[in-house]
Amino acid sequence: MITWANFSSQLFNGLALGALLALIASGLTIIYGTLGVLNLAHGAMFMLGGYAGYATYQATGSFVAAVAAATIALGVLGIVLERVVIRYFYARPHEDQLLVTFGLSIVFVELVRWYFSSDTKTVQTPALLQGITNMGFMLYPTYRLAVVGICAVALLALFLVLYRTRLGMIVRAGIEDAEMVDSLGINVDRVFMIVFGIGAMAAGFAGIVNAPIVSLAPDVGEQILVQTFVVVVIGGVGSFPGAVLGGLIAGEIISLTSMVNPAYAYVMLFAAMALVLMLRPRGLLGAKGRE
Amino acid sequence: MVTNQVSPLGATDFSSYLTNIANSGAEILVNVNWGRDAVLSTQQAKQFGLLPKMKLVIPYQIPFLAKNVGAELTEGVYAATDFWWTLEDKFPLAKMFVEDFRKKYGYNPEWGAENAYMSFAMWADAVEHAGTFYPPDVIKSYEAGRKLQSMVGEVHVRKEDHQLVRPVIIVRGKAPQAMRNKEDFWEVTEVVPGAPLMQKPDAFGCQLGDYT
Repeated sequence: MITWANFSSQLFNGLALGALLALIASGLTIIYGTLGVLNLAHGAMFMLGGYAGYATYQATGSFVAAVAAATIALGVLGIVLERVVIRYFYARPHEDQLLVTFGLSIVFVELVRWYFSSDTKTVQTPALLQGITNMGFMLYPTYRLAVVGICAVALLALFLVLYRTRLGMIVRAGIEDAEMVDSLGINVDRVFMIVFGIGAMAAGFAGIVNAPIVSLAPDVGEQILVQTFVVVVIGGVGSFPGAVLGGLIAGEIISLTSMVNPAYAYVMLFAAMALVLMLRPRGLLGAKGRE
Repeated sequence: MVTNQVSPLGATDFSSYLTNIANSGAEILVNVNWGRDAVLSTQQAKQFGLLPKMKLVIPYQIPFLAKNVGAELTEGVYAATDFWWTLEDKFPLAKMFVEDFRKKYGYNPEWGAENAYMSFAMWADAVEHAGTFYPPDVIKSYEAGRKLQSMVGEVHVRKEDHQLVRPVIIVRGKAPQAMRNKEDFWEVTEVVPGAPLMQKPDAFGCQLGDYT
């Protein structure tokens, strides 16, 4: 129903949803922008981050350790994947890249099913962040509030890496024109490896941070992958600010449509994507000339 | 009813629906989700401050729900179900089943296990009386309407529409401090005979057709 109270609640909820989507989408967009590879395994990275964190949490009982472990593990996995698999597909047509990343995602999901079973696993909310916060216009779970902050910090860290370091400059140059960067004598190989690692790391970090909210199951990656792609399309491929903007827009579309009728939340999201594709195919903040 | 929030099967994040409910002024939350959806939606309802402020109603006791959401949320909640393990105190067959199950699997059986076992036992009984595995004869054996002792009391198959006439168990959630052991979530308040509760055989236009 449309009331002022519900509007402000859903607006805020959209911010929370959007922050998470922005984080995952930024990983995907820099991978696609730099490497040109459509990483269908990105959802699996999200899921694996959650499970890596879960396993660490079971072993140590510390949520911070779980987050750190998930981030590092996924960063390493991303680098390994790039070296062992993805690297051989840069010259191949897009369909081959889609197939190999899709295949990887299936392999990861089944590995997780085999090792952890298909049951839903719960990750406990860290004790400090349990409970409900009274925000005046609504009651909100404290942990979800914290996730907004955590995602904002992570996005800021990504921003600093991309815009304030030499590596970030090279990555951004690579997004614009990888061949030129190569001709300038910069080791594009290594850059690609690091970018894939960073992208996977962002997804893994989001995976464990989101786990206390929605529980872990082997298929959480699939659901998030579709939404992430929509965000990247809306925001513009290869654009980090685009991913953030797209994420926030997507989060708000889902939440505000839910105010009227939750069944149409995803319909509206895809309608928005279709609109962007029709009117501005490169995305809201995408660079001209990219497909 | 102030609002009706429909979530897709398999949804994991119920925040939009729960926000709508929180702002609707509802006093009672009827959760007709199932399985993992029920567990997640109930847990998130608590996180959003809806429970225990609102009264929770679950039409049907979902297996493992109480264990996953915690007794604080199921305390005082009424539900209908097919079986609860504390019926072992009332029916000797139930006691036998619960003890054997617990010995083999390490936890008490829920109604899924009970229904599976009873279905097979009843089929075995029908086959024994028919003297053959040939389905039409077994069907006729079922239709003889023998009254069988089950884990929830006396049951029989209704000839007209092949429905099983069986008692319905009403349970109420126990408070955490009243639980005698880790699995003592529900208290059986009533075993309601099934026959008066059932619709008439022709209520849905059931046409059984030929035996083959």
